[in-house]
Amino acid sequence: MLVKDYMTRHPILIEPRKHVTDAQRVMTEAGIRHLPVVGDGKRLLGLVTRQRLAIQPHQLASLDVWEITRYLADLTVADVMVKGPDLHTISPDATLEEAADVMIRHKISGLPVVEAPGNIVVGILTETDLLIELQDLLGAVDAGWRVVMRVPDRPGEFRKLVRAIGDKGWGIMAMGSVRTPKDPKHWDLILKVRWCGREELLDVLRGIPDQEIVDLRETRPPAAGPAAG
Amino acid sequence: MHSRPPGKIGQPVIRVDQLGIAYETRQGLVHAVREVSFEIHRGETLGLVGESGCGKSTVAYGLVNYLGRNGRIVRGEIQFQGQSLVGRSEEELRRLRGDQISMVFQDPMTSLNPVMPVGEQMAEVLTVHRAMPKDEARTRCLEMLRRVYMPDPAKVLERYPHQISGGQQQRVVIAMALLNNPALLVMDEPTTALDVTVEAAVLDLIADLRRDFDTAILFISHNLGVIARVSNRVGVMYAGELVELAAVDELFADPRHPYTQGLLRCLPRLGRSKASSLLHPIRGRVPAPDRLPPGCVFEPRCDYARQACRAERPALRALRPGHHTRCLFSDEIDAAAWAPPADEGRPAVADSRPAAAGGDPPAPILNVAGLKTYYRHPSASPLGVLGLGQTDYVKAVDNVSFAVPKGRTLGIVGESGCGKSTLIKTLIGLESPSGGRADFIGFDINRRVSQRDLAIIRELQMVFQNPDATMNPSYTVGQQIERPLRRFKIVPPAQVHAEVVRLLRAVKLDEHYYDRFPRQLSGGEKQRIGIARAFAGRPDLVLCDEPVSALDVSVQAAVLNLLMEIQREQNTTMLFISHDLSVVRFLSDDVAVMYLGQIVEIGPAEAIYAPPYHPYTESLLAAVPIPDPTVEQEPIRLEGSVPSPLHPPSGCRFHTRCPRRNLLPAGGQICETTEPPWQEAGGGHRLYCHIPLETLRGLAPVVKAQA
Amino acid sequence: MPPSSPATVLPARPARPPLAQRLRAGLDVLLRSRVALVGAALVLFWVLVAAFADDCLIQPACWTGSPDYTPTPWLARYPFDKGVGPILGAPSAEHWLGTDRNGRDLWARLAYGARIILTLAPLSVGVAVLLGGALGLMAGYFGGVVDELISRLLDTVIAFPQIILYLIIIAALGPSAANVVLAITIAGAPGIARLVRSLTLDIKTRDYVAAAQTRGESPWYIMAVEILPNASGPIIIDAMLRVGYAVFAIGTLGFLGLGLPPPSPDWGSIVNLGRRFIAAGHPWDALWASLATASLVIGLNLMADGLSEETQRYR
Repeated sequence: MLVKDYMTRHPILIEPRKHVTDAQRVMTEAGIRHLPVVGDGKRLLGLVTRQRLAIQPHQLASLDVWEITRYLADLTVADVMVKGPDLHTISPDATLEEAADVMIRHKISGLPVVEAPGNIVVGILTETDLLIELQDLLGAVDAGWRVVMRVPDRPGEFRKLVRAIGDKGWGIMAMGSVRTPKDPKHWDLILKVRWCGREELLDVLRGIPDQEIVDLRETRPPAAGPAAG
Repeated sequence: MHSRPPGKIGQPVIRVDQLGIAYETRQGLVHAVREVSFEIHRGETLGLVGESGCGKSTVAYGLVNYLGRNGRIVRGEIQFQGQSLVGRSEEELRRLRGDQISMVFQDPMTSLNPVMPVGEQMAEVLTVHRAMPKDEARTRCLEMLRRVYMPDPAKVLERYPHQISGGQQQRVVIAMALLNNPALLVMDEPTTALDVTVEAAVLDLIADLRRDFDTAILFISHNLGVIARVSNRVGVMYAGELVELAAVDELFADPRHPYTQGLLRCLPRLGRSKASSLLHPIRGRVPAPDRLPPGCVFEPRCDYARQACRAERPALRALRPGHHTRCLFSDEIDAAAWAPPADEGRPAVADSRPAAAGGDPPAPILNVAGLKTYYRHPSASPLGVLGLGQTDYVKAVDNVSFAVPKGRTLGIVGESGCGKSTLIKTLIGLESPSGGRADFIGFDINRRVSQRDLAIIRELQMVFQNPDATMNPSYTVGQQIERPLRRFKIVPPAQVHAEVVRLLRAVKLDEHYYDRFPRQLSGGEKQRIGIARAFAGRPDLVLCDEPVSALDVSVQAAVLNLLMEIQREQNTTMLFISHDLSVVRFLSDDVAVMYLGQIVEIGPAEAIYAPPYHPYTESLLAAVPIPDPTVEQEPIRLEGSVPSPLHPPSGCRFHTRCPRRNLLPAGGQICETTEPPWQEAGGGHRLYCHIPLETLRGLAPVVKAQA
Repeated sequence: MPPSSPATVLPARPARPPLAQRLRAGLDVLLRSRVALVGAALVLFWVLVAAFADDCLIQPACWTGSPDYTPTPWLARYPFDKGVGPILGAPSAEHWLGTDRNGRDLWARLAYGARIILTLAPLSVGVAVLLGGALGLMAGYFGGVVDELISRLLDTVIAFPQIILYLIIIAALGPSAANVVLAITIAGAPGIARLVRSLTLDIKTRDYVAAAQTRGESPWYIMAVEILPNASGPIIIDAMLRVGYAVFAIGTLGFLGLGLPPPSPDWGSIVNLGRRFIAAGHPWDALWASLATASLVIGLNLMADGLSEETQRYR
């Protein structure tokens, strides 16, 4: 559950001297939203995002047509990239929670992953990668039963549930817990159970005292990833 | 490992589209590579396989623009990480190569500087390119060497390249290639120069690294077994074109191009023997790039060729998603329904040992007992110069005993340096034996060839390994085959010419070859002449020193068939040495496995390839690359390298690397102190090991074919 | 090929490969290299000059010395050893290169001198190649003690500077054509032997040599038939360079007065005799003879260079 396990390795990179239109073309063709800008030896210098490529009206307001053309023609990646204190990065050994925290705090959708000495780019972590982690976390990759139980906020509830399923020899692929929204006295536990039938599972779950079945449904693995070649 | 399959998300790391590469020669532009298209995603290995001269290396060099002065990309596009590599300046490409693309070549020494310690060379990659401080770089290198499973990495950093073994050199090169964390790794026959056990370890390493580093790998090899082991997808190249591209399982299970099918039919599979199956060579030879047929490049050699094939050059098309072929009739041809053409020579289907089935085997023609060949090795002490110091001996062959019955084939396998070549050189008299006994048809042959009778010399001939060195470039084919005929007075002088022609026909070459010079022949043809020359004197015993290891698979099959055919006709006895266990299994009636100058296991071929195994045989079998991705092999890997034959380990010579020692009480202490006994496993199958036969019998077979 | 072809007549040796084919291949290589072509032109020039130094090639009367012999007007008009013009004459239409102190025509002397040099230099190198080649083959093939003995012996000879070696030999034996050849052979053979030895060491590891050994062939057969033909390329190129050096050496010996005795028109002695008149305003003797030596040596060198380059390119 570290950044290095979920980041995209070998991201497409660009050099600061390149023209903005090059960056635009690369991003469109590759279908990416973040383009790390690197110097020699893949040292991170900045980050180009789609928003950065959009030209702000106020920059052009005072220019006439000819000047606009020249302005655009001279624009390099170095001119538009995010840099300095606005450039946020994450280490490959950081946890995903840390990465999410950085992204939420600064309202950004992607983070270049850099190694400490020399700021070498080793990957990129985007919202998509976090969503993939969420998907994995909830066990959506394999078929099974998705169960949500509401349990009181006291010790031992979790154990009761796990033991009830474990005793039957069924498998738990994934589990998570959140405080029930708008009800601080309860927790919602989510589990992915497999190797069992619906009725027998319901029987077991109903037999657990003080716990309430909020939701039970069958899940199938998601369709194969996007753009399968 | 996480759940995303490789190559599914996002853009490919590299996309090659309709690539055409040509070399400028005196004869004009020669198109070495035409219309090659493929892509490789992150964490995916594309295997590129083909025979020599099919352009697979040219593709690799084209990617990094190493084409030399006269080569250039004439067509197509290479997109790397979204940017075109074609038409980039030298400087840009150089930077890209350093940062994002790494190459590993067949010979590790081409990438290593011989006068610089390994550590310095590796650190240079980081300090020069990334301006990393020296200490930091050193730590990184150490970490990376550990990552490639280098034993004792700290010491290796201090060594010079020539002080470490070939397998270790290749690991250093791979580690160096990975230091920059490249997006694309191009490997050109990276394991071809390595022994099979070392190769297996390096291939394991490559698979691990691909997974952990998410690197896209272009893996080039002529060996279908290696390709089957490492690749996710495989591209088959023929005469400069990609003729088939498919996922590895699909390609091997259901090849759709006639060439791919032909290649798979030429291969001796492990566990098949000449009695149970045939090899079917592909007829003809690869066309030269400047003399291509007008239609499909494979048409002249194809069994399914029709009029349409001659008229138009087929394009690479998708049969189904992910499976492309360049054949007009891929949907119709069925590999399973293929039958050998009627004119193909019948290989030795019949069991070549009729006496073995019932009664006793024929009397041995060659009897070797306790044979020793030592080389004097100058001792390190200064006294050695004066000839006073204690002389050391390299025990290349040490106490080897076996017997070969008439008309049978004894295969000898082992890794390089095991003494198999020295053994047959001693038998033929090119090396002087240091002790023991060797009887050949009742005559003592324990002496150099110059001291032997001409009659004995005539009965004992040899086929050599290197097709380019086996013939004297100054003389025509006819002259070279004539020589033994005259020397041994096989036929009256007036009939020599007729006899040469007969021999040429016997090796499936026609009369026209009489006046050709070796430089006008292909490797396979040269090897045939070598065979004709060896068999010209109608010898009783022919020693074959890896006669097919330098040949392409399709040619190899033809030469193997030829050897068997001539052997059967003349009832010749053969000693056949090879490092390729499949070939030896296919050709031999009996097999001997050698390690460090000694035979460790000997017996009928089928017994060697099934339990009980000697632990060394077992690890060889576990390592041999099998051209079938569904076959599972036990992951047994030998550690360390072969010890020096100058000071072989005490007791059992294999004890330093034996993976099965712990089957014995006290972790196999006895192996270090006592020489193992010869254990009889029945039917002439003998093992040189301490581990009781019952225990060895209980071990699972190493190679498991899936039903 | 019918059974009675030459290949089957020779019982012991394989027949030579078709000579014409070999020659054509050699000529091809020569024509392909511009450097070699220039060299060949220079050498060919001197060969022609030497051949037509007198008329004997075209007028049989010259051989017999018959009285009705008259020299052809363009070619060899003058003898080399008789004064036919003014003393120390400058170049003129009559005497193209001038005349020397005895009134002898310089062109005639150079042309006759070319004969000497073009005979002696290849001859001495040929003998050196025979001797050095044999020693090198034996040292390389047998190895061990034989190699040690031969190599040490040759090292001893190589240890002497060549020019001193020449001086010693000529001084001891007296100046004569035979002794010049002997001196150059002795000085040149060790170098050739070394080359042949290293080639032999390489070639003897080839499988075809092992194949010959396993047929029980004699060492002499293997050296002569299996090894030598494959070493011939580098040997020929080396010999060509050595002919150049030999031309130089013979010139040097002539200059030092150790060449052929007068009135032999040896180029070296022409320079030696002529150098006294340079200051007197008559540089022609020395100039033409020096130029002749230089152009021949350069020609031979260029030819060797071009050939080795071409042959290496196609190895």
